[in-house]
Amino acid sequence: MSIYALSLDRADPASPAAARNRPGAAVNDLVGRAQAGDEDAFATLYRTHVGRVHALCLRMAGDAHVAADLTQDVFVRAWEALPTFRGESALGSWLHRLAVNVFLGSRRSSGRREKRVFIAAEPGLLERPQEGGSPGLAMDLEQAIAALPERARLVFVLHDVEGYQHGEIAVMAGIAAGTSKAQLFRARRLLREALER
Amino acid sequence: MNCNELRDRFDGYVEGTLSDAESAALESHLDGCTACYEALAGQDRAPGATGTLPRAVAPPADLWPGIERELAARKRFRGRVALPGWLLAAAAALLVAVSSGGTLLLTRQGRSVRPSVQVSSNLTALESQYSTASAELTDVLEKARPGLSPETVATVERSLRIIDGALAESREALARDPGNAALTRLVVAAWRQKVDLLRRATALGKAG
Repeated sequence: MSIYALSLDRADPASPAAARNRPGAAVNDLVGRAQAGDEDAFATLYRTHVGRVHALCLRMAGDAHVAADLTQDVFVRAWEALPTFRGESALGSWLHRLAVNVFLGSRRSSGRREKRVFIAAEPGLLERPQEGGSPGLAMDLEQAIAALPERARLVFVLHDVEGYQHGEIAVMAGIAAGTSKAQLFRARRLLREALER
Repeated sequence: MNCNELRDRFDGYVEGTLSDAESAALESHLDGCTACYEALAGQDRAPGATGTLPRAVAPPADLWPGIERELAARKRFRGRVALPGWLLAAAAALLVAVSSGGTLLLTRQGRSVRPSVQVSSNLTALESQYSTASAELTDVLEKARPGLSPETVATVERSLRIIDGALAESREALARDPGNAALTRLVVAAWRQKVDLLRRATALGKAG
């Protein structure tokens, strides 16, 4: 079976009535309309995904202002690349990978020095944590993540927060898998030390 | 660097006091040593609060108005410069083509070098996959052709000619400059466009 056989199967529409009743059909419809150039549909997708994308940008950048710029850039690029989105992964996953690429591209092109602005200084940025979580603990951890050295922070966010594997991080970040592993343990130890202070 | 040396020096790595060469040796050892990986994983677990971090964080202000302005500005720019359609399509495909197509293939192969190098060095394998997929989809499309309107068939054929032209141009340019990563990406993007167009066209045939 070729790599496109599966996508062909997915693209194969069932009856229109069945398609409307499938879970996720509304999302697929929005994506399809946005791919066809419907900005209102894209605005709805933006509002659905902006929180997750912004959280990722905020944690990767460790800087609230840079994160807002990155998030905006992610959605502008998403609009342009959306015709190529084939639905083989969830739109959220696709946007996350795009956000990582945009962040890494911005670091390479600008050569910006790392900024360490604690996002906890702007508590309004944080939405309500997951049920059962401790707001205080999460805030302390957010501060500690923002204070990590850049590469350790990137690997920690991608591996422990977002769930990427070392091989994927290595490919995305252009580093060796061993570097990703070492930086993860470095990040975890620095976080533990910061939280125990 | 052996296992004992790695564990002795890891504190220095954390504190950033190792030389670049020592850090590189430590990272290289950790890449292949499961015992050291597991030992460090036992010592340095993710903070318990990691699971309580909010999955979504609202931006400080609504970013949509800025996005909308940027999209409008790009539309105006395109209207003025009138870039060839295939180039715009290739540019749109580029970002995802590299991260999805090239990365997927290379991740399966367990390689870990820079994306541009990966795409370049695996272009032959990627082209082979795209070529196979393209041939299979073309067969499906031929069978579906009777169910498509003449206008749709004409549009698909015209678009395929444009993409094939772009692909040929990109490949010729790459043959003259084999190390050019941007040209490599353009070739990949053109293939992606072709397969995507064929996939959509065959879906139309099935829907009809």
